[in-house]
Amino acid sequence: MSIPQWFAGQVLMADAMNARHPRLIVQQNDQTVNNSTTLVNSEITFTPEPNAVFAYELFISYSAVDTADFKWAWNAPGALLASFTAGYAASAATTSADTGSLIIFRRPGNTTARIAGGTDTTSPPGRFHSAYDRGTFSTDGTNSSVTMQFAQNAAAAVDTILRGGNQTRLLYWRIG
Amino acid sequence: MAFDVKSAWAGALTASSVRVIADTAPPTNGSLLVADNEAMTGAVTIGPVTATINGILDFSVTGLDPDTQYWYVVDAGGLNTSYKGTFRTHPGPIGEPLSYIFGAAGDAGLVGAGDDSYITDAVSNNPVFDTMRVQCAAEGWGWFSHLGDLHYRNYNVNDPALFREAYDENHNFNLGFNPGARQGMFLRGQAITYVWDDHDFGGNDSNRTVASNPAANLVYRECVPHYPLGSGGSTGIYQSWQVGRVLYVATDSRSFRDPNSDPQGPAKTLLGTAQKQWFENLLMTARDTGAEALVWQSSSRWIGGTDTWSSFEHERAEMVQMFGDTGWLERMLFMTADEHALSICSGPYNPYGRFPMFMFASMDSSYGTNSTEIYDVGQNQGRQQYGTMRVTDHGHSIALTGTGYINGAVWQAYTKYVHVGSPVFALDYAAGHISEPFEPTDDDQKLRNEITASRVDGGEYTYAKTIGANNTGDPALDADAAGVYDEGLQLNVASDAQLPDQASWRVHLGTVDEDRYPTVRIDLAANPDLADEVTGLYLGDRVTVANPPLWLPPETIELIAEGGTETVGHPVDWDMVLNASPGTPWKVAQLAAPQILVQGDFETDLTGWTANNGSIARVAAPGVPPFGGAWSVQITPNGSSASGGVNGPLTAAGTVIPGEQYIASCWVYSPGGWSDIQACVDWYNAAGTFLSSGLGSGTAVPAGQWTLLTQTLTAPANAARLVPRARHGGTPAAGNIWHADQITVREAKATGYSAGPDRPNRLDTSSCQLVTAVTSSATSFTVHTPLNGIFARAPWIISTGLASAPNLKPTQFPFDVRLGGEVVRVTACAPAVWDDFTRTTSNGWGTSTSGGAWTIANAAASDFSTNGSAGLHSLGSVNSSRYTHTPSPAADLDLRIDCSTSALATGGSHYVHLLARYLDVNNMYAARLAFTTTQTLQLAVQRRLAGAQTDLATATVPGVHAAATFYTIRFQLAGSTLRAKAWRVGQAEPEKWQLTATDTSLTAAGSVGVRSVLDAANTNTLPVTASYDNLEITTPQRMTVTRSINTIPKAQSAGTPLSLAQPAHVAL
Repeated sequence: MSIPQWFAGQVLMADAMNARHPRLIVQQNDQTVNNSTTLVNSEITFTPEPNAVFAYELFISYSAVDTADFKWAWNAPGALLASFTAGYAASAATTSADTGSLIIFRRPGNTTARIAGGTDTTSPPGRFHSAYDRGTFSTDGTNSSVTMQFAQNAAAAVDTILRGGNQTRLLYWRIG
Repeated sequence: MAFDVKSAWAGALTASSVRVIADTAPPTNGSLLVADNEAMTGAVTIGPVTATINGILDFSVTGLDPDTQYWYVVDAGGLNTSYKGTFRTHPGPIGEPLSYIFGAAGDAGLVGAGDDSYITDAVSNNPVFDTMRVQCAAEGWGWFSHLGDLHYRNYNVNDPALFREAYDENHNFNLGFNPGARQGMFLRGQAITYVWDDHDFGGNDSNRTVASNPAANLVYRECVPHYPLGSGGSTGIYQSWQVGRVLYVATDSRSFRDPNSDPQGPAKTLLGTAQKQWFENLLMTARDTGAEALVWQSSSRWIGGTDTWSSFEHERAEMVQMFGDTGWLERMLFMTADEHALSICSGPYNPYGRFPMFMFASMDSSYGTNSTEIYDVGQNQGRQQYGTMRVTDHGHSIALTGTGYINGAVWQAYTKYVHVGSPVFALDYAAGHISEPFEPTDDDQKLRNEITASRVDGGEYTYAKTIGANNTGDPALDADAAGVYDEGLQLNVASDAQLPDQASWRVHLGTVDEDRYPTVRIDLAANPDLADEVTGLYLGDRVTVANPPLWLPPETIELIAEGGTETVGHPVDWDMVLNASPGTPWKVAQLAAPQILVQGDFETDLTGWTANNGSIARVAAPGVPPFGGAWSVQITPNGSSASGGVNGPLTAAGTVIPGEQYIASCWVYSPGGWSDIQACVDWYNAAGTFLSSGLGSGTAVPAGQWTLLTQTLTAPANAARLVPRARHGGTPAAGNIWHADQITVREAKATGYSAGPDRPNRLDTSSCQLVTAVTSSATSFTVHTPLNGIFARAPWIISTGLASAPNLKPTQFPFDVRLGGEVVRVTACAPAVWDDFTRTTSNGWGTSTSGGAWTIANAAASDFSTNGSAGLHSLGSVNSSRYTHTPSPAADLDLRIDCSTSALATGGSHYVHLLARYLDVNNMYAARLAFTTTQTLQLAVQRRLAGAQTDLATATVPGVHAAATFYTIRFQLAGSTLRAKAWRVGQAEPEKWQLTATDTSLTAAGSVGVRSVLDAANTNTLPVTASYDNLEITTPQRMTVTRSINTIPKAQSAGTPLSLAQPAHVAL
C-alpha cells in the first residue's frame, strides 16, 4: 500500500509514486433512463484504497426534459463523502440552454439525491447541461467500490441522459 | 624617460598569458618588458610590435607562471616607467579547485549628488581609486572587473576619435600625459575585464540604434585588452573566461538591445539572438573544462526600472529557462553596477531565477535613493563604493563571497555556496591500503529503529520502522525484527512539519542492514601517496574500500568518514585511523544526468585520433583559447578531397542508444577563416560496423578566432557506438590549415547509459519475485510482481514489447537487481508472452513475437491465420469453437488482448474468449466477451472443467458493439481469484474490475490463448472472422540477465524476492 506522506530515507517505489497521481474516470458512453426514479449505476465507478482520504471532483454532463429532470447520488458503502454540489433546480427555465435558472447548492449525504433540472421540452433531450459535485471522501478498511448513480428526479416517459464520451468525468486523488 | 606612452593596461588574463595594450602618441613602435619583480630585473622582452595608425601597441604575453605577480613596462624608444603596470596571473589551471579574490565596480564620472569635486568632463579622479589600488595590492586581487560606465561622456555619434580620446582621458584624467591620475594608476594596478554600459557606449539608456554603436565597438576592439569576443564580428563585446572552476561571462547589454520603450514581447531582445546562442553554447560546454559555478556580469540590472531587464520580460524568462535547462540556475550569481549603489540580494527575493545579485557601485557618480526592496541584504546609494568577490573552492563546495566596501570599510557581505559534490576517497584493500585489523562489527551500538524528534517549544513526532530489516517487532516472531531501540531528540528546526523527516532519516541511518567498520587504519607508511588525499578528507566525506578481504562480502565497502587520528611514530608505522560509519544509507535518490561520451583536449597526445583526408599534428593552441589547455590538434587538408578533418576514438558498445539525441561540439580556429567546418559524428553498431555519418551542417568560421561549433544529432536505428569528428568541407587547399580542440560528444539527456545500472536513480517495484528456480548460470529469469490485495503493482520497465506498452523504456537499460545476495544485471526485459501479430501466416498462427509457438485446436488449420496486423479465427460454422494457445509462464498472471468480430451479430451472439490456465479444450478459465444481437457487450468469467462450462460471474459492459471494432479484455488470475474487465480500444480502461470470481478448480499454469465461437442460433453470413491483437502478459515478465555482478554465483529458488541492487532513498 502506498503512503501519501514521504519520509526521509524511504525507498522510492514505482507504486508509491503512481499512487500520488490524480486519477481520471470517464463516462465513456451516453447512458439513458426513462420513466424511472430508481438510481442506476453509471460508468463512474472505482475501488479506492482502504483507510485513506481522497479529494474528488465530479463533472456531470446531462440532458433532461423539464418534466423529468436529473438526479444523482453515490453508492459508496465503504466511504464517507463530504460533498459540495451545484446544479439547476427542478423546473428550470426551458427557453434555451443559455437561459439562467435557480441553482441549488447543497452539502448532501452519500445517498441524498442531488437535483439537476432539465430544460428540454421534448424527448430525447438535446441540451447539454452541467452539474458539479466536489469534496472529499474517506474510506474504511474494506475494499469497497464507489459508484455514481443517477435517475430521473420525477418519473416521466421521456429520456434523461447522462452524457458520455468527452463529457462526464471524475478526478480523484489521495490526500491522506 | 620617454613621453610617447600615454596609457597601458592588461587584460585577457590566464594562468600563463596576458594581453597588454598601450597607447602611444605620436604612434611609436615598441616592445614590452615583463618581469616578476618591480625592479624589472631579468625582464623578458615581447615584441617589438608595430603601432597602429592610432598609436596602439598590442602585446600578447605567453609562457607566464601561474599565481605570480608580474610587472610590465613599455619600451617605445625608451622605458616609460611612469606607466608601469602590474598583474597577477591566475592561480592555477582551469578546472582545478582554486581560491582567489578579485575586485569589481562600475559607474564613475557623473556629477550631482554627493561630493562630485573629483570629476571633470565626465571622468573621475576620485581618491577611491587609490583606496582600491592599495586594497588590491594588499589582498592580491586577481583582476578588476569594471561593470560598466567607465565614464559619462554619453557620445552618441559615430566618431571613433571621441571614444579613443575618452579612453585616453580616463587613464590620464583629461590630460594628454598624466601618469599620476588616480584612475589610470588603479587600472595599471592589476589586469582588468570591462564591458560597457550606456554612458560609455552611446548615452543614457542607449541601445543598438544609437549612431555611436559602430564607433564604440571599433574602438573597444582597438583599445581594451579583452578576452576573445564571442561575436567574432565587428559588433558585440560579450566574452567569457574561466578561473579554476568558476566560469565568468560578461555580456554586452547595449550593442544588440532593442529600445526599452518597445512593447514587451517574445521578439524583444536585450542580448540579441547570436549572443544568447553563444551564451547557451557556452553553458552547455563549460562543464567540459571543469566549470562548476557561474558568475554572470551584466551591465544591465536584472530587476527594477526601465533601463533594465524588466523591460525585456520575455527574454528574462527565456534566460531563466536557459540557466535551468543547462543546469546552472542553482550554481550562479549575477553582478552588475548601473544604479550607483551597493546592493546585495541573497536570492530568495529575486523572483526571476532566485539567484543572488551583487551590485557594486558607484565609484564616483551621482546617486538617488534606495529603489527597491529586492536587495534583502541591503542597499546603499553613494560614491566611493566598490566590491570584491572572494572565491574559495573547498572541493566539496565553492564559496563566492561578495563584499561591498565604502571607501575601504566593509559595508555588507553575502556568500553564495555552490555545492560541487563530495569527493570519494577510494581505498583498495588488495592494494595494501588498509592495515590490520580490518574487522566488521555486527553490534547494535548504532541501532535506532524508533526515534522521537521534538522541536524546542514545539511539537514532537515519533517514527518507528515496523517492517523490513531491524524493525521494532519481536525477534521471536519476525526474523527481520530487532525489538525496540528508541531514542528521543530535541532539535532546532523551524517548523513541526520538519520533525517527521528528521525522525525517519535518523531511523533510516540507524537501521542500515550491514556490519559496521568502526575503524579503518590507512597505511600511510606503505602508501605515502595517499597522504595528500587523507589531508583533504573532510568529516562526512565518502570513503570506499574496494576488494575487501576474502572472508567479507565481495562488494566495495561504503563508509562515511566520521573523524580520525593520525599517529606518526616509527617510519614504518604511520597510520591514519579513520572512524567510520556505514555509507550506503547516504546514497540517496538522484536524477540521472547526461554524460560526456568522448572528449579530446590533446593536452598529452593524439592517441585515438586519426586524420581524415589530410594530416594532423598536435601543436600549441594558437591565439588565446577561451578554454583550458595549451594544445590543439592541427588539421592540414590534403588539398584535393572535398571533406576531411580529424576523427576520434570509437566509443564502447552501449554508449549510444538509437533514437536518442547527442550533442557534438568543438572549438575551432582557422587562421584565414573557412566556410564549412562542423562538429559531427559517425555512427556504428555494437559490432563496430559503420552505419552512417551524422553530419548536420557546416558553419563558416571567422579568421583568427576560436569559435565554438555545436550540433545536436539523433542516433539512427541499430547505433550503439560513435566516432567524434571535427570535419571540414569545401575542398580546402593544403594551406588552409585549421585547429580543433575540446572535440566532444555528450548526451542531450540522460539515458540508460548515463543513468548507470547501479545508481540510486531508478524506481523499485514494491514486491517482485522469481517465478521459477534458476541455476547459478541461467540467464533468463521469469519474475512476477503480484498484487497488493486487490491492487495491481507496477511491473518492471521493458526493453521490448508492444509499442503501446506504457512501461516500454528500451533506452533505460541495463540496471542491476539483487536477489538472495547475488547482484545480476538486467540487460533486457519483456512481457513473458506478447504478440503484435505483425506476421502473415496461414494454417496456424506461427510463433508469437515473444517466441512461443501457437497451437491450434478443435478446427481445421485453414481456419487459423495472421494477416500482418491480427490473428484470425475464421468461423465458418456455428456452435463450434476455434482455439489457439501458447504456453504460459505461470498460473498467476495479468494478461490482456484486443478482439473484434467482422460483423454485427444476428440471430445469436458472437463470443470471444481470453483463456488462461488452459490445459485442453475441456479445461480452462476464460474471460469471455459476448457481442449480442442487440449490440450489447456481455462479459463473463467462465470455468470450463471436464467439458462442463460454468459462468462464474457476468456483467454488462457499457457501450455498443460495432463490427470490426476492437475491444480489450483484461484477465487477471491470482490464486483462486479471477478478475476481468473489458472496454473499447481507444477509451480509458475502466478503473474498477467489472467481474471478480473465486474458483479453485484449476491451478496449473497451462497455456494462455483465445477461443472464438458463434452462438448456435447465430444467422450471420459465414464465415464470421474473429480478430485478435496486442496480446500481452504484463506480469510475469522475462528478464535477460548477466549473472554474478558482485562475484557471487548462486542458484536461486522460486519465490526469491528481487529488487533494485541500489534502491533510491529519499534524501533528508
